[in-house]
Amino acid sequence: MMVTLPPKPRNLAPLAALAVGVGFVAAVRGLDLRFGDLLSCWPDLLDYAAEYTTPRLDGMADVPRLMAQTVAVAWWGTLLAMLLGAISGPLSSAALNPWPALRFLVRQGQGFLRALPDLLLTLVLVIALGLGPVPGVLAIGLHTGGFLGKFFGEALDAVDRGVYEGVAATGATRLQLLMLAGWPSVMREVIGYSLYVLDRNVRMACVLGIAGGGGIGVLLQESLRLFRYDRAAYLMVVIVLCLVAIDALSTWLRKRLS
Amino acid sequence: MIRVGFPTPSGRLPRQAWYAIAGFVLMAALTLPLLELGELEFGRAWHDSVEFLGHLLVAPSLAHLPKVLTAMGQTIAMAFVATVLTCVASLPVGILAAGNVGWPRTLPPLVRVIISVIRALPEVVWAILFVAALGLGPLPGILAMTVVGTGLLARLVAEAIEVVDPRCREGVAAHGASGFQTVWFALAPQALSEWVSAAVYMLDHNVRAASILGLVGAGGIGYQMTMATRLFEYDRLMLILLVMWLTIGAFDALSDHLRRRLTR
Repeated sequence: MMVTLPPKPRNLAPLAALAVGVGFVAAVRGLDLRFGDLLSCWPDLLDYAAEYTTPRLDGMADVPRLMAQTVAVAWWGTLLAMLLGAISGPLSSAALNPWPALRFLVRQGQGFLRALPDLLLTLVLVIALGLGPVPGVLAIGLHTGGFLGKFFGEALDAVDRGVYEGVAATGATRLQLLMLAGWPSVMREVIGYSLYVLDRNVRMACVLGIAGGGGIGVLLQESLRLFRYDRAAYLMVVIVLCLVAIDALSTWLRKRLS
Repeated sequence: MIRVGFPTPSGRLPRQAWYAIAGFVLMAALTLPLLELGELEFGRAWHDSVEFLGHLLVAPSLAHLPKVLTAMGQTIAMAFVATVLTCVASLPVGILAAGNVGWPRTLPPLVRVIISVIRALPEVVWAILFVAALGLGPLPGILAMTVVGTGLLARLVAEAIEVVDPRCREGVAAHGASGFQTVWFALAPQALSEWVSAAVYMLDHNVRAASILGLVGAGGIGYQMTMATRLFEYDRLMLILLVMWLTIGAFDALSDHLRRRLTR
């Protein structure tokens, strides 16, 4: 008896692996990378790493204040991002915004904000606002606002259309639809994404000082410029400890919430 | 589980919402003095901002286009190389960090602590360290992205492996597979789809990260942007912003599309 087998599925994995391999070699060639340097210069690397082994903390009285400023920048940046997200999220959602042209514009705007890295945005904003935490807050808020807008909009779109229809059937206006059907249905996602963004923003706020955006990064940049690796090592220990503590706090919060 | 008691029968916000709002506002008020708003003269800042935005109303300069495109290509190449290295490194590290493989009991928690410390510092900090050690150029940037990316991806791999049904391992082990073979044939395939999806996300993430790294001397579009900003060349800046928007937007859309197909 002749058995007809179903067609064998095409296995694209070798093709994909080949493409990645060719791309990798081309990129390494194009960038003129020499990984061999890593092996030949390892005594130098050890010498360099040894500079970090003796953390010294002279002239570091500013550390607590700057670390608090870092958290402040992240907090206010996240508030700004949530505000932007709360406004642009519903506008980018197909369920709540019936005008495709406006939806398209808002989505492109969000994409633009997402495409500008906050560190480079800080660099640009410092031209207008001068050095300090304010350009940092604006940069972080604008960049992550693009993310939150997209996340909120997608969450609002994922809600069962019946929920909207139920509320719309009572004669609700569009704003009432958002307030009474939209936000209550996506509250969990909103809180989850916002906590995630806050977490990310604290990390980013630590380095905004490199571009002049205030926070602990100012000291880090200064230490590395002066080749004070002992101070830089101390600062990095402080930053890591703070970040790990904040991480634990946000994990605990998230666990309580879900 | 959050029980959202909203909308309430009375039409007012529930009590928990008021607590959350109060906490938010309190924290915001407490941190406000740290923002040094006093040092910002609002009149002057406003004037400077308007003037600055006026400067931005220029046509992007096309004279810089070849240079900017080369830099963007360099950034993408850096992100790609870092992503490939990350994917290769994250499988073994992720397997080391998984609790159900049969390692000595202290090993997975130790590996987890190390990768969470590595992840704690953003790419830029690692790039600064590597630039100081290896000199300017793309190599330190790639290393920084690889280190952070491995920390991110290894955790995902470990989590994907830990949810594997133990019966899969028993089934493979029952055929007389060695320890390595059990890991390779029972655990790794289960983590594969997660791994591929995360790899696509890493590429998107790394293109963003790589465009920043020029700021600390690791080459690419970030260096072009830093120079344009320092020299106040606004037409060049606008061109760079445009190129970045289009490129990063394209990678964003590509990664969304691919991941939606992979997870379906």
